[in-house]
Amino acid sequence: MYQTDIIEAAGGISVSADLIGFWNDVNLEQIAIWDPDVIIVPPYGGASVEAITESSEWQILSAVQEGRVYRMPRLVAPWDTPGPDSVMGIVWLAEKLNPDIVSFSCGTEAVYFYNTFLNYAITGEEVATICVVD
Amino acid sequence: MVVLIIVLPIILFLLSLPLGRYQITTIDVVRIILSPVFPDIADGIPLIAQQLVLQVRVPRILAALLIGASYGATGTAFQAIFKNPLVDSNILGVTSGAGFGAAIAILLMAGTWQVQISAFVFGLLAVSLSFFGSRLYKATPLLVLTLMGILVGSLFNSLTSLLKYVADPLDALPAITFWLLGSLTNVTWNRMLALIIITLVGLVLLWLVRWRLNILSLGDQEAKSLGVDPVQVKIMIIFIATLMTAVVVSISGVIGWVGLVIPHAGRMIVGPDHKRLMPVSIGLGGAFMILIDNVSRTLLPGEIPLGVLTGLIGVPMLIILLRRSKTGW
Repeated sequence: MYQTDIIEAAGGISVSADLIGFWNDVNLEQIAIWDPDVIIVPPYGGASVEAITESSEWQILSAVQEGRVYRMPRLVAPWDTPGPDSVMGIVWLAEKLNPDIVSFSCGTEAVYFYNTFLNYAITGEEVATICVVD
Repeated sequence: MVVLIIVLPIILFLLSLPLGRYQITTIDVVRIILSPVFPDIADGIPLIAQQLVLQVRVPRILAALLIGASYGATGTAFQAIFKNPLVDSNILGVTSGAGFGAAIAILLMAGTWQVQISAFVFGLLAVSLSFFGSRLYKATPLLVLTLMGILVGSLFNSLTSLLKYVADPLDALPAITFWLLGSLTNVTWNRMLALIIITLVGLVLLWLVRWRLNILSLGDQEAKSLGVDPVQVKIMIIFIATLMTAVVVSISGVIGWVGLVIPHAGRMIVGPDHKRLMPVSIGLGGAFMILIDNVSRTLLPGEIPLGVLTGLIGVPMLIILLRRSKTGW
């Protein structure tokens, strides 16, 4: 699905790429088999990073143990849905996955993207909350 | 026979523990299960396997057992008091109400807990509407109650459709749709407290009134002359079964057909006497649901919705059972 393409474009491997269908219901055992390095939580559907990091059941996953659970940003639209903003999703995710390799930063690209394509002057505050550097 | 069917879900519960997407050997599972009693016995087994068995599999399979048993018992009770073999505890609209409650909570971006509580409350509300609505009429209360249940159910289904229509297709809509398909993926120990308490108390109560169900299925006049107040008993059973079904639906979403099929299967085995049928339906329901959930959670990497499986398996089963059934109900 679209999110799989975003992950691949950002240089990652989606653990759920082979699933049939779009929105899938997956149990914790299957996620434990995949044991992903990074978990991306969508900014919609009632999902939250805390629901994962604060749940005792999810502590078995390496991504949770190493604090690599991130929330996909959203500004005009969620950055992982089929829309222009998803380009920023790729940029953001690439930086999250391989901060040492990429030569761009989410902050600079976000200012350029929203100014150029959407004629929207993104504020420094918005950049700071969206492109959290950890 | 009856005793065998009662212990069947417990045997299946134990046999299902080694099953799962994550490979854990049967010996390791046994060691992990015993580890809360003998702390050293699970030494050397990866922590991930221990956590998966104790925190994921045990609560989930237990939930499946309780849910199936609950549907079996409430279905049997409702078929007896409505004197109709084609009803289950959903006939008064509890599932439709709960579905609406869940949908509105999802739409309002509530968390898992709020969705569960909202589903429970609206499930009870729907049955209250059916029940008190039917009191407006004097004639043949049971018929009016059934009719009112169908009407209230349809009303809540329409309201749920309306919510789906306005829901964001990327966001709330898939969440509502999945909820309405039924799943036990989210079952954890801390969500199960209400399910365990209400289901166990309800099962004991329905088991205790099992002989009254025999009297009720004779008809109200006969029940009265045998010293049972039919209205009082029916109200009590409807109240218990509704609480049980509301708590089940609030945790699992919509799982149809179990409450309808299991009593028929039970009648095939032990006949229509509720003294035997009630415990048999409880046992068969628990066993059936464990088997269905095993398929749902192990067959594919993505879960198969429970409501889909119970329909696909339950409907053909019912057709065969109805054809072969000679015992009557």
